[in-house]
Amino acid sequence: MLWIALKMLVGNRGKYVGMIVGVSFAALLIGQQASVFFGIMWHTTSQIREVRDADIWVMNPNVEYIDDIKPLRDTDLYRVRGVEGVAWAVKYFKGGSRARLDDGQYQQVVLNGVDDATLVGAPRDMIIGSVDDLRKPDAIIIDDLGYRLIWPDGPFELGKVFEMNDRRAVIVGVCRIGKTFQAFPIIYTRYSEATAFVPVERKVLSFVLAKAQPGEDSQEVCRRIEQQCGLRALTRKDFCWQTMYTYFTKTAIPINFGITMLLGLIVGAAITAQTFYMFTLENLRQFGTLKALGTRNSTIMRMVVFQAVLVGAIGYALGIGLSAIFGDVARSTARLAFLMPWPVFAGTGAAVLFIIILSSVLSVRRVLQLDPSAVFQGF
Amino acid sequence: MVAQTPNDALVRCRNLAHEYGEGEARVFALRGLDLDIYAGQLTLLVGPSGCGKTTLLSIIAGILRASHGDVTVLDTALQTLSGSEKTEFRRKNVGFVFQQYNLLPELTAVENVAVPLIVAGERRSVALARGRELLASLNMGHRANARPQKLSGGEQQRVAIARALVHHPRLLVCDEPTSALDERTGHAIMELLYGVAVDPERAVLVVTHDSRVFAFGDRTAYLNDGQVVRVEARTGPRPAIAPLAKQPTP
Ligand SMILES: Nc1ncnc2c1ncn2[C@@H]1O[C@H](COP(=O)(O)OP(=O)(O)OP(=O)(O)O)[C@@H](O)[C@H]1O
Ligand SMILES: [Mg+2]
Repeated sequence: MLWIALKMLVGNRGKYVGMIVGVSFAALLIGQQASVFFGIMWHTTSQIREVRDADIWVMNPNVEYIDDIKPLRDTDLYRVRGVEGVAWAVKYFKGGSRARLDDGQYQQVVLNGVDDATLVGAPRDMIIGSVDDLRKPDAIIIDDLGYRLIWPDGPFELGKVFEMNDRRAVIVGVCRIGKTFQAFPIIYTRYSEATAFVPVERKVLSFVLAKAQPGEDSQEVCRRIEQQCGLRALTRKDFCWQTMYTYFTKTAIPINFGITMLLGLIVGAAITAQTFYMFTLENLRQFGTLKALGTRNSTIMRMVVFQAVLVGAIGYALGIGLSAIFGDVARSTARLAFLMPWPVFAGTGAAVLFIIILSSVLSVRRVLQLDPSAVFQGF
Repeated sequence: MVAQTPNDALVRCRNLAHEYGEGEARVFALRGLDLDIYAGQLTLLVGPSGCGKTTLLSIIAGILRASHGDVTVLDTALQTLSGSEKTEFRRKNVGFVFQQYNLLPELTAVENVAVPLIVAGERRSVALARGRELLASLNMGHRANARPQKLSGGEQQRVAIARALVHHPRLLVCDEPTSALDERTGHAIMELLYGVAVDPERAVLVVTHDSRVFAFGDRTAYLNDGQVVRVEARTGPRPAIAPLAKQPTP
C-alpha cells in the first residue's frame, strides 16, 4: 500500500512541490532562529575562548560569568602556583575603562591585561602589528571591529593614540577576535599597563590563568585549586558553559532572542501543520474510499505517516541546508551571530517531524471513523 | 431459476432504523424497515431525495452501523461485528460503485482496478495483471494506463465497475452509478452491470433515482421517508443486453 501512498503524494506535482516548499521554509525559519540564538549565546563566551594557552580559569568564588569581575588578592596567584599539578599560573586583568578620543568624545572599552612576562592571554590573530610590540611602553592592541567603531574610515593604521584614565595609549596592533556579546572595543595590553589605565580602586587581579601539567586532568586540578585556595576554578569549557548558563538564566537579553526563536518555531509549526493538514484533508475521500474497500485503519495510518515522513524529511533537508548556507554567508560577510551545533539540526528535525506527523494523524482521524458521507459524496 | 424464498436471501434487513445526530438536530433517516435482497438478481432501490437510500446502502455494505434492528449479510449479523471485523468483511465480500466513481486520481486505470487485490495482500504484479485482464474484458484494455481525469465519465465508471468486481465479491453495491452520466452512457453502464455483475452467486444492489434505468431491475424496492413502501418484481423480460465477455472466473 505504501506505493499507493507514494503515488498519491508525488502524483500531483504542484501540491507536492508546494508542500515541500512549505516545510522547507518552516525548517529554514526554525533552524535559522535557533542558530542565531545559539550564536548569541556563543558570543558571550568569546573572551574565554580567545585565551588559548591557559586551560584553567581561577576566580573569586562569587564570579558567575566572564564579565562578572570580582577581585582576587595578589597573593592568590602564588597559592594557585603552589597547587599540585599546576604547570604555571599568571595574572589576568579584565575590566572596563573609558577611552577619551581626539575629539573629546568618550568610548567605553573592555580592557584585558595579559601577563607582562609571558603575554599569556594576548590575541593570536593579528591583522597588522605584532603581539611582541605589546612590550613597548603604553602599547595596546585593539580588535578590528572596535577600531572601526572609533575610526570608521580609512585603512588600519598603527600609532593612533587615545587616552585612558589620563594616560596615553598607543595602538601597536589590530587583531581579529571572535565577536563578543557586547559591542565595545576590546583592548589588550600588559597587566601592569592595564592597571594604570583604570582608576586606583579598580587596580585588582580579576583572574588567574593556569595550565595543568602534562598528564594531569585539568578538571581534577581545578578541584584541587578550589579545595586548597577556596577559590573558584573552572576549565575553559566549563567556564564557557557557566557563562552561557548565567546569561541564559540571569539576563533578559538571551530570553528576548529565545522568544524570537520560539516565534520561529511557532510560525514554522503553523506552516508545516497547515500544509500537511490541508493535504490530508484534500485526500480524505481517497482515504475514505480505500477504507470502504477494506483497508485497515493501521494501514491508512501507516500511509499517512509515510507521506508525512517523506515530505518532512525532504523539506527538512532542504530547509536546514539553506539555513546552514545562509548562516555561513551571514557569518563570513557580516560576522553575525550564527552557530549550528548538532542540537539545532536534531531539534529542528524533531520539531518538523513531530508537527507534520501530528497534523496528518489529526486530519486523518475522520477517515478512521469512516463517515459514509465522506465516501459517497465523491471527490 | 434462482430460489427466492426469504430464507436464502443474501441480505436480510429486519426492523432497521437509523437516526443521525442527537436532540434538536436528530434526523430519522430509516424508520423500521424490512427488506430482502437475493443473489442472482439486480435489485433497484429507488425513492425521492433524502428518503434514506444511501443510508440503507451504507448499512448493508458494512460502512455504517444501524441505530436499531438487524441486518444479516451472507449469514453474518453486521451489527455484532467490530470496526475491524467490518473492514475485513467489506474487503472480502463487498464491491462498491460510486456516483462520482471515486477513482484515485493519481493512479492509472489499471492500478485503480488492482487496489482491492492489493488491499487484500496480493502481490502488485499479480494484481495489475488481473486488473488488466478485467479491463480488457470490459473493452477498456486500451485505456488501462490512463489517469482517471483523462477518461470520460462513462469510461471512469467502467473502471470503477472493474474495481468493484476484481476481487469477486458476493455483494455489489452501487450508489447512483448513472446519475452523473448522460442517458446513452448511463444505459451502457447499466447494461454492463447487468452483463458482468449479475451472477447466480452475487447480489447486486443499485440505488438510483434515475427513472431511465428502472427497466434494469429484477426487483425494485420503493423507499419513502425511511421505509420500504412497495417491492415489485419485474414482469416483462430483461432488457436486451449486448453480449460482453464474462469476467474470468477465479
Ligand atoms: N451524516 C449525516 N448527518 C445528518 N443527517 C444526515 C447524514 N446523512 C444523511 N442525513 C440525512 O438523512 C436523510 C437520509 O439521507 P440519505 O443520504 O440516506 O438520503 P438519499 O435517499 O440517499 O438522498 P439522495 O437521493 O439525495 O442521495 C436525509 O434527510 C439526510 O439529510
Ligand atoms: Mg444518496
